[in-house]
Amino acid sequence: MPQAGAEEQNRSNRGSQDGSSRETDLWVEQYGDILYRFALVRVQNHSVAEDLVQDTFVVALKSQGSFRKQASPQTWLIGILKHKIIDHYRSNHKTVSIEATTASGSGTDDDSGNTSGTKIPVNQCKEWAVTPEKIVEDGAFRDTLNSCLDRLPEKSRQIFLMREADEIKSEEICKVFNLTPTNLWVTLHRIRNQLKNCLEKNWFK
Amino acid sequence: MITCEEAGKLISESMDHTPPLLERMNLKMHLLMCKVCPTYMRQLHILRGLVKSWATGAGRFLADKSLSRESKTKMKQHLRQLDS
Repeated sequence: MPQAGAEEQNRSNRGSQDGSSRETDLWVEQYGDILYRFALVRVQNHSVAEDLVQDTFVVALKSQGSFRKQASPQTWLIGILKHKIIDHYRSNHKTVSIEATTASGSGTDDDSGNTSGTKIPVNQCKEWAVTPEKIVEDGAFRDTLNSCLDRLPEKSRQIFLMREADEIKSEEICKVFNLTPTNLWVTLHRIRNQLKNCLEKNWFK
Repeated sequence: MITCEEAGKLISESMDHTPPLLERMNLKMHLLMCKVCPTYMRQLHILRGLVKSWATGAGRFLADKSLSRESKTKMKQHLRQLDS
């Protein structure tokens, strides 16, 4: 919504005392909300998301030279934010027990590669005739997806979003959460099945 | 031939790394013979697409969630201090 953005910018300009907005002020106005929403989806905590946005701007400020060279500052800032989010997961991980990742309603919690929770009942394998980019425009679908994701343990949700949404390599996720590759693959398989079942129960009926 | 359970595991794993040649061949064979697993594979890829579209669209979908005026002011001040 470019109109709303412009309005907001006017308001802030009027609000600044010396009348001349600094470049960093403009960053906050132009990219603050976009970065905040990006972080909020991933960390699900208002004040953590705010801190991460601020940290992102601080890093950007320290490398202003590169900021000016960016064809798309937004993409660049989101790239910084992604790393900040990973750092946050990493520091958070030290305080959360491993059970939080692997605890799930279905399947077993060992990491021996046992996939007893991953049987695929034939009747649950109907084609999903949807186009992802289109169906996410539907608010009701987003609510369903949201509640399915919210049912995952916090760490599973983080791992899953890192892998599927942000395309972070398996090796890096293993490092952040201190998992073996096998452990990660089993975890991801289990999460995918959980979400598939949840969506099938609540949307693709 | 590998079972559907083993194929399911390989289908998911293939989305995260390239399994060894033998496993890839086993999966290929299975997918040719099985009626269920190809659908399962398509579902997991659609699921990935859904989550990706949902997460990248967050900026639009969460239009009601914004930084407060107060937070923005604080952020600006903080950055000004660092910048001076």
